[in-house]
Amino acid sequence: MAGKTPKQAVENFLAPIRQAVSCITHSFVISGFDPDRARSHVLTINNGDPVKLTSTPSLYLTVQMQYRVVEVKGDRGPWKVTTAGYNYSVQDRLQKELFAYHWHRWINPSYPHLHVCQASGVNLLRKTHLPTGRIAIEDVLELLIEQFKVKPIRQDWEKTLKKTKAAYEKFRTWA
Amino acid sequence: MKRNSKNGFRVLSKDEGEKLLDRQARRYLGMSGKTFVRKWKAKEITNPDRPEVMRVAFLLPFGG
Repeated sequence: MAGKTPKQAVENFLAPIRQAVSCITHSFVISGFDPDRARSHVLTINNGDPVKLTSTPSLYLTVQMQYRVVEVKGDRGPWKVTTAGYNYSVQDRLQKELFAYHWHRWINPSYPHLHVCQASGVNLLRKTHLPTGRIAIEDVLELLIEQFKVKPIRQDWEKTLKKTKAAYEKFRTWA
Repeated sequence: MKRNSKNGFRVLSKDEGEKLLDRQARRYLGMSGKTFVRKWKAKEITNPDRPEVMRVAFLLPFGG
C-alpha cells in the first residue's frame, strides 16, 4: 500500500486488513510500527492470541504478518508497505494446529507453503512444506467461511473481502 | 498514528511489544522473550518451523 509518508503507507496497509478481519472477529489489529526503524514490523490480531471463531466444531485462527516500509518510485510510492512474511494458522478446539499457510524468508524453505498438521488427522504431512502461491489473508477468511462454515459477523463479508483483496492485489509485486 | 484508532488497529509501544513477545514465548515455549531472542540469534532453537516456535518467531521484531 502506498502513502506520502511511511506512517500513511502503514495506515493504508493496516486499514484494509482490519476491514477484512472484521468479517470474522471484533479483535483489534495490532502492529509495532516505529517510523524511526527501517526494519521488519509485526502485525497480529487479538493481542497475538488465537481468535476463537464462531463455528461448529470450534476453530481458532492465528494471524501474524511481518512487513517493511520501503521507498519506491512511481505509482506505488513514494512509500510503500511490502509484506515480509505471514503465518495464518487454523487450530482445533484444543488449539492444536490443523493447517497453516506460511511464508517466511528468514527460515528455509523460503517459498510460500502449506502445513497440514497431525491434529487434522493426517500424520505424515506436518514436516512437509507443500508449495503454494502467495496467500492473502482474504483467501484464508473466505476458506474458513465457505468451507469450514465459520459464521461471519458482518453481512457484507463477501463484498468486503473482495474490496480489500483487490486493494492488496493492486500493490503486490508478485503472486 | 493514534494508539487506539477508530479504524480498529492499534500501534504498540516498544515496551508493549516486548511484553507481548515475552508473554507468547512463556506461553508457547516456557521461556522468557529475552531468552528466546538470545537462543534464536545463537541458532539454539531446534526445528524452528514448529507451530509453537513459529508463533513466537513472528513476533521477533518486537524483541528490539
